[in-house]
Amino acid sequence: MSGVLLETVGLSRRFAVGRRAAGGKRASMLHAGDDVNLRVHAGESVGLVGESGCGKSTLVRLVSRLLDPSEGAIVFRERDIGAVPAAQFAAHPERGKIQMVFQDPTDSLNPRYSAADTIAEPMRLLRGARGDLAIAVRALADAVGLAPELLARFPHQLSGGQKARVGIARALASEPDLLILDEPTSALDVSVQAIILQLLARLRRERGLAYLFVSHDLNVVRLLCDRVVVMYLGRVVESGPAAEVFAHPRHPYTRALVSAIPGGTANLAGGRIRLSGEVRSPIDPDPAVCRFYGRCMQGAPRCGAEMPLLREPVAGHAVACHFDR
Amino acid sequence: MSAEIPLLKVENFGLEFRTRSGVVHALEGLNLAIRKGETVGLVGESGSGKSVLSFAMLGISDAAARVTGGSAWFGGLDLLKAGESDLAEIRGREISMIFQNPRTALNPIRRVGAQIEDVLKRHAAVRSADLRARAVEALRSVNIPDPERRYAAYPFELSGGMCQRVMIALALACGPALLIADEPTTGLDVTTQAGIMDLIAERARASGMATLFITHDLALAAEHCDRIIVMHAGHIVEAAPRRELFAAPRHPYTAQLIRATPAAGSLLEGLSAIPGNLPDLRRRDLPSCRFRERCERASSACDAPLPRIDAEALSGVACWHPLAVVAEAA
Ligand SMILES: Nc1ncnc2c1ncn2[C@@H]1O[C@H](COP(=O)(O)OP(=O)(O)OP(=O)(O)O)[C@@H](O)[C@H]1O
Ligand SMILES: Nc1ncnc2c1ncn2[C@@H]1O[C@H](COP(=O)(O)OP(=O)(O)OP(=O)(O)O)[C@@H](O)[C@H]1O
Ligand code: SF4
Ligand SMILES: [Mg+2]
Ligand SMILES: [Mg+2]
Repeated sequence: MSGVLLETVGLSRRFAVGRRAAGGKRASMLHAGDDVNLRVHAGESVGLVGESGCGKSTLVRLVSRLLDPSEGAIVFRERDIGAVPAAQFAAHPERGKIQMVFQDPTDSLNPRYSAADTIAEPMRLLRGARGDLAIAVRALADAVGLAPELLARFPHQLSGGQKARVGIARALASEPDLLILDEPTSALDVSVQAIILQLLARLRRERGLAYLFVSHDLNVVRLLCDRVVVMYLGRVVESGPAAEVFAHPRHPYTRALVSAIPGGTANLAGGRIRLSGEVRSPIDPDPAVCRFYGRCMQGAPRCGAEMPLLREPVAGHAVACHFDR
Repeated sequence: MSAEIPLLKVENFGLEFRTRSGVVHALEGLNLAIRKGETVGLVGESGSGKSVLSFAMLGISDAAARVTGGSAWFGGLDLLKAGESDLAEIRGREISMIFQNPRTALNPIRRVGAQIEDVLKRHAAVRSADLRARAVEALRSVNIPDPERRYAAYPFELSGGMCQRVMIALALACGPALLIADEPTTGLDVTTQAGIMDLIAERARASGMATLFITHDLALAAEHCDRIIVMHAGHIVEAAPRRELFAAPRHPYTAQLIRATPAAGSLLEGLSAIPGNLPDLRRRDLPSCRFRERCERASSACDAPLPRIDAEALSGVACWHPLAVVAEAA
C-alpha cells in the first residue's frame, strides 16, 4: 500500500463534566478518547466501529479538526495539523483535503440554503465562479442518487435520507483526499445505500480517495472497508483486516459485537452473545482497570488490576486483552 | 383477532404539500390499522412518506401540509380532524414519538434528566420526591452508563446514539398506548440496538403498548416486528406478517428492496440498487401505480386503479401482477 495519509499518535480527548467544586477540587473528566493510534493509508478504507458513546464521533471530529485534542498528534500528509487550533483550521491549506459527512444531516445543513446552494458552495470556493456550476452540481447530485427536482428544496422540505445525500454531495464537492463519514448510511434506505456504497468504491478506485468510515452496520463495513478498528469506551481494543476481524474476532467485545449482527451469526460458533453487567463509567475511569471488565464474559481479577495494552500477536491484527490466546 | 377494535385505524388518508414549484402529492389512499400490543414495521425507500405519515398522526405536520381526505381513528377521536387542544392532550401521553433526528428534537439548553422529569411530571403523576430517581431509572433502562452523573448532562455533551436513547427514554416515560418510533435505533450499534428492541418488546408484553416501528433496516424489522407494511412514493404497496413478507414478497418493489439489502454473505457488486428514482411527486399525471415506471412486470392492466388493501387485513398487495404465492415452506 502507498504512503500513510493520516496518522494519530497517542491521541486523547477529555471533557470536564459536572460542576467544579468550590474548594478548587479538580473537575471530573470524561475520557472520550484515550491514547488512540490510528493510521489511514492513501486510498485505503478504514472502518471505525464500537458501541454507542465509545468515542467514534469525538475521534473523527479531532481528526477533521473540529475539536482540539487534550494530548497527542495528528499528522496528515506529513504535516502536523493537530497543533493548529480548531478555530483556525478553516483557513489552513489542508482544510479542503479532509472532508466530513456528519452523523445528523439535519444538524449540519444550513436551513437557509437550498440543496443546490449547499452543494455549490465548496465548488465556488475551490474553483471560483468559473465553469458552469449548475451542471457540476447536477452531476454530483446524480451521482449520489438525488433527483434533480429536489435541488431547489430547503432542508425542511426534504426527507431524512434526502438530506443525508445532500451532505455527502457537499463533502465530495471539494474533491478531498480523505473523506470521513460518520454514520453516513444510517439515514439511507438500502437502495440508496447501495448507490452510495458503489459510488464510494468507485471514487476510491478512480481517484484514490481514502475513507474513515464510522458505522454501526457491520455488514456495510465488511463490504466497504479494508481494515477495521474497534473501539470500546474511548480505547482501541482491536484492529486488523476487516475480513479477518469479522471471521475471527479476538477481543471479547468484538466477539459479542460480531455475534449480534442481525441475520449474521452463522459464522460464529455459539450464537449471539448477550452482554450483561453495567457499562463502566467513562468519567474518571480507573487507569488500571480494563474498560470492558464487568461486562466481559472472560473477565478475571487481573482485568481489574491492570489495563491490557494493545499487542499485535499476529502481524497487522492488534488486540488489547489479557486473555487473548 | 379481527373482532378486536384496533387501537389506531387509518382509512383512505391523503396529504399534500404546497411548495413554490407545485403541489407535492406526498400520501394517497393509505389504509392501515394497529392493534394493542402489536409491533408493526413501516419500511420503504427514503422519501416514501413514512415520517410525513407519523407527523400527521400527531398533528404536527409542516404548515404547508393539507389533508386531502380520510380518517385516523384513535380511541373515539379522529386525529385528522381533532382540534389542537385534544391533540396536545394525546401527544406525549397516549401517543408518543421518537423522532428521526434526536439531537435536534431534544431541548438543547436543558439537562437531559430535567427533560425526562418534565414528561413524568406532566403525564405520569409521579411524586416530586421520586422524580429524580425515576428519571435516573429511565436513563438506566436505555443503557446510558453512569446514569446518576449523566442525568446532569446537556444534549451536546452526549453522543448521537445517547441522544437517541434519551429520546427513547422520554417517549417511554409516560407509558404510551402507541409508540411511533421513527428510525429509533439506526444510529446505534447492534448490541445497544438489541437492548432497545428488548425494552420495547417488554413494554408491549407488560402494558400492551403498540408500536409503529419505522425503519430502513429490513433485517431488524424481520427480527422484531409482528407485521410489516411497505410504502413506496406515498402509497402502501404491501402488508404482511413478517415471515410471509420475507419468505414470499408479493409486490415487485418489496422483492427488490429485499434484494438490495446487504446481508452477511453479500458482495458490493451483488447489491442491486432499485433502478430509477421515486417519481416526482409534484407531477399531475402520476400513474395509478407509482411504481409503474420502475417496474419490470408493468403492463397496460396497471393503469386501472390499484386493488385496495383493507386497513384491518393482515396481508395484502396493491399490484396487478404480484409475484406468485409460493407453497408453504414449513
Ligand atoms: N414541507 C414539505 N414540503 C414539500 N415536500 C415535503 C415536505 N416535507 C416532506 N416532503 C416530501 O415528502 C416526501 C416524503 O417525506 P418523508 O420525510 O415522509 O420521507 P421518509 O419516508 O420519512 O424518508 P426517510 O426515510 O428519508 O426519512 C419526500 O419526497 C419529501 O421530500
Ligand atoms: N462536548 C462534550 N462534553 C462532554 N462530554 C462529551 C462531549 N462530547 C462528547 N462527549 C462524551 O464523549 C463520549 C463519546 O462520545 P462520541 O460522540 O464520540 O461517541 P460515539 O462513539 O460517536 O457514539 P454514537 O455511536 O452514539 O454516535 C460520550 O460519553 C459523550 O457523552
Ligand atoms: S482484559 Fe479482561 S475484561 Fe478486558 S476484555 Fe479481556 S478478558 Fe475481558
Ligand atoms: Mg457518534
Ligand atoms: Mg423519515
